[in-house]
Amino acid sequence: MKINPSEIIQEMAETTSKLMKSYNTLSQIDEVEVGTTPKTLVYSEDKLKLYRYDRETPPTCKTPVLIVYALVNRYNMMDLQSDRSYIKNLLELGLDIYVIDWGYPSKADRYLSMDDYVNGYINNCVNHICSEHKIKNLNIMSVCQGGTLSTIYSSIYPNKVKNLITLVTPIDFSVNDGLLFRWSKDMDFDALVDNYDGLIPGEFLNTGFEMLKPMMKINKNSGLVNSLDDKDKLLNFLRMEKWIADSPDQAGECFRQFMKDLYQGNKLLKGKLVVGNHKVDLKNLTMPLLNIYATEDHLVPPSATIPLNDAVGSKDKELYKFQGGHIGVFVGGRSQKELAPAVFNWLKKRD
Amino acid sequence: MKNTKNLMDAMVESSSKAVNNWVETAQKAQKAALSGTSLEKNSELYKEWLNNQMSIFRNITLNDDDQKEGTHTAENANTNVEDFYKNWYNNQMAAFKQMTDFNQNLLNAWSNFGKPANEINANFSSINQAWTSIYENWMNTMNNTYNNLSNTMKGGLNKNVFEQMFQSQNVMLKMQEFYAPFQKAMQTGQFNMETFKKMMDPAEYKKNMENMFTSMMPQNNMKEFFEMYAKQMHTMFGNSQNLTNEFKESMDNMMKSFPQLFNADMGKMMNMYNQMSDNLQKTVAPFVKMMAPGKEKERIEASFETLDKIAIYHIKNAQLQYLMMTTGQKAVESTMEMVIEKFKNQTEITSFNKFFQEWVNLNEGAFIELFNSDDFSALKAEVTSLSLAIKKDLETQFESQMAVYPFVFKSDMNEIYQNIHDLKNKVKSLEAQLAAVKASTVELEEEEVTKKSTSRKK
Repeated sequence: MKINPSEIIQEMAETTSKLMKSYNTLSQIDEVEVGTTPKTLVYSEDKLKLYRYDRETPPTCKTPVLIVYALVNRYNMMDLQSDRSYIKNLLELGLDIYVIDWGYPSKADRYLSMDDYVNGYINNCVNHICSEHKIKNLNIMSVCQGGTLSTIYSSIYPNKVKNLITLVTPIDFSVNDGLLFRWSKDMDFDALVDNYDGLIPGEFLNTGFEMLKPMMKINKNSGLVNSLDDKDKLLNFLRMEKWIADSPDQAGECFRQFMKDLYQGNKLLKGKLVVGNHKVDLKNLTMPLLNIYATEDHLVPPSATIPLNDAVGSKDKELYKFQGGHIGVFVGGRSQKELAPAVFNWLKKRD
Repeated sequence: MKNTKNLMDAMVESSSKAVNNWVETAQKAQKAALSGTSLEKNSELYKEWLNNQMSIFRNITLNDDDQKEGTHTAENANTNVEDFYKNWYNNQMAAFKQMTDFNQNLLNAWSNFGKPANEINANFSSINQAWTSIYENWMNTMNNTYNNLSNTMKGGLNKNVFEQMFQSQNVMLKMQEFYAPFQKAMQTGQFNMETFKKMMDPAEYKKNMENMFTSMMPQNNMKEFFEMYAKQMHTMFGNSQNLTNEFKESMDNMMKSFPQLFNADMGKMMNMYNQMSDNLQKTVAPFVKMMAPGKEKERIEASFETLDKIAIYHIKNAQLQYLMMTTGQKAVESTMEMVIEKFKNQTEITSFNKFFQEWVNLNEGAFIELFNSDDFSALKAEVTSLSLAIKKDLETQFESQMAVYPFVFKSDMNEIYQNIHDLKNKVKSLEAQLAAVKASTVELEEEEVTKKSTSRKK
C-alpha cells in the first residue's frame, strides 16, 4: 500500500459519495414491513394474540401446529421476507399453522410469572385450538426460549401435545460455552428485576446480545456502505434491523424465575423445577420429539440443546444438526431448502 | 391529501437532485484542492452550486400547481414544507462552506505531510498532526452535514441505520487515521514494534474504543463526577468550615491525586475513596445524630448512602473501562505485530481494508476472551447492579420528597398492578371452573337424552 496525496483525497471523495448515495437511497425507501404472510386473529387474552395463517387449500397434514416463539424479540423472524419465509414455506408444504404473539408487556404486566405463561397462556391457546378442531392434542413447534417453555408445558401436559419440535432451545443451562450462560452466573437477577421496576427493557437485553459478537455492528455497517446500489440487499438489511430493534420488554416475575431457576439453578434438567402447582419432570415428556440445534449458534450453544434428547421419556426422538447460526435457522437459504421440508416430512410421518 | 402527496414526491425528487449536485460539487472541489487552484476554483464552484440549488428549489415551486390551489388541509403541510426547504437550504449552504474551508485546510495540512521525513521518530509529531488535521477537518465537515441530513430522513429505522452506518464508517476512518503514519514509517524502512509503541497515541485510540462501545463507556467520567461531588460538599459545609476541615483536606488530596489515580490503580482509588468517605461520615455523623428521628433524617441518611453507591459505581465502572481499554490496546498491538511480521517477510498488506479487517478480527477474539473471563463477568454484574440500585435509590428519594403532593408514585402503582394480576387470575380460574361445570352439565344432559331415547326404543 503506497501512500500518496491523490489516493487519499480520492478515497475521501469516494467515501463522501458512498455516504451521500446511502443517504439518497435510504431517503427514498419507505418503512419496511416484516411478517407479511396473511393471518387471522382467532383468540386473544390480555396482550396475547393467537393467529392462524391463512390457507387457500386444505392442509396436507391434518394436525394443526402451534408455534411458540421466545418472549425475547418477535416471532416475525420466521417471516422476515416473503422469498425467505420459514412460515410461508411450511404453509406451502401443507401445514395448518397457528402462532402466539406475546405482545409488548408493560409495567402492568410485571407480575406475570412463568406459571401464567405456561399453565395460563400456552395452555389456553392449546385448549382453544383443540376445541376449534375438535381434537385432543396438537403439534407444537417452539423456538429458543419458547422451546424451553414448550418443553416444560409438554412435560406437564403430555396428553395435549402430539409431537414436539424444539428449535435452538436451551435446556442444559450449566454450560459455560455461551457468554449469556457465563454472565448469568454472576448476575443478581433479583436486584435487576426489582430495580427495573419489574419490567426488563428490551434494550438492556439487546445490549447484551450485541456484546456476544462485539465487532459485528462495525463489520455489517462497513460492508453495507459498499452494497448500497443493490436495493434488494438493502431492503433485506433493513428488515433484519427492524426485527433486531423490535425487542419487547420482559415481564419481571417470569424473567426472574427463568434466569434464577434455569440459567443459575439448572432446575429443569435437575428435575427440581416447579411452575405454578406443577413439578416438572422431563421423563413425563413422552411424545415424539424433534430437537433441532445450530452448529454455529452463539446464543444457545449446541451443548445447551443436545442434552434434551437424553433427558426426556420419549422413545421416538431425533436430533437434527443444522449447519449455521441461531438466526440462520430461520432466514438462511439452507433453512428454506433443507430444514423446512425436513420438519414437514417429520410431522407428516407422525400425523 | 393529493397536495401533500405531490409535495412529498417533489421533496424526494428534489432532495435526490440536490444530493447529487452536492456530491458532484464536493468532488470537483476536492480535485481543485489537489491541483492547487482551490481558492479561485472554489469560488466558481460555489456560484455554480448555488445556481443549481436555486433552480432545483425554484422548479419545485413552479411545478407544484396543486400547491397553488392552497386548500385549508394542505396549508399546514405547505408551511412545513417551506420550513423544511428553508432549513435544508441553509444546511446545504453551511455544509458547502465547511467543505470549501476544509479543502484549504487539507491543502495546508498536506503540505506538511508531504515533506520528506529523514528520521521518522523525530518528525513523527508533525506528521501525525498533519494527518490528524486532515481527517479531523474532514470528519467534522461530514459529521455536521450528516447530522443535519439525517434529521430529514424518512422513518425512524432508516435514520438509525444511516446514523449507525456513519458511526461505523467513522470508526473505520479513525483507524485509517491511526494507521497511516505507521504505514508511512514502514515505507521509509524505519518501523518496528518499538517505534510503534512510541508513536501510538492512546488518547486517540481511546476515542475510537468509545465509539465502538458506546453503551459501556459513558461520557461523564469519574473526574467530572468527583469534581461535581467536591463542589456539592464544599457548598454543603461552606458555613461550618472548622467542623469539616478533615473531610475537606482528604477531598483536596484526592483531587490532587487524580492524574495518578487514572493510571489504573483501582485499589488505590478505592482506598482513597474509603478514607474520604470515612472522614465524611465522621464529619456528618454529629449533625445527623442531633436531628430528631423522622423523614428528614431518613432522607439525609439515604442521600449519603446513595452518594456512596455512586462513588463506588464510578470506581467499578472505571475498572471495567480499564479492562476494555487494555484489551483494545492488546488487539491493536497484535495487529501491528502481524503487520510488521508480514512487512519483514515482504508480504506487505496492500490495502487499508485488509489491515482494518485483521484489526476487526483480532479485536473480536480479544474482546470475546475478555467477556468470557471471570473477572469481567463478576465486574459487569456488579456495575449493572450498582447502577440500577442508584436509579432505584434516586426514585425512592424523589417519592419521599414529593410525598406531600397529590401524585401517584410507582410504588403505589405496583400495589395496584399486583392486585390486578391476582384478580385477573381469580377471574380466569373461576371462568375455567364455570366452563368445566357447563361442559359436564351438557355432557350429563346429553347422556340423559341418550338414555331416554334408548329406553324408548326398548
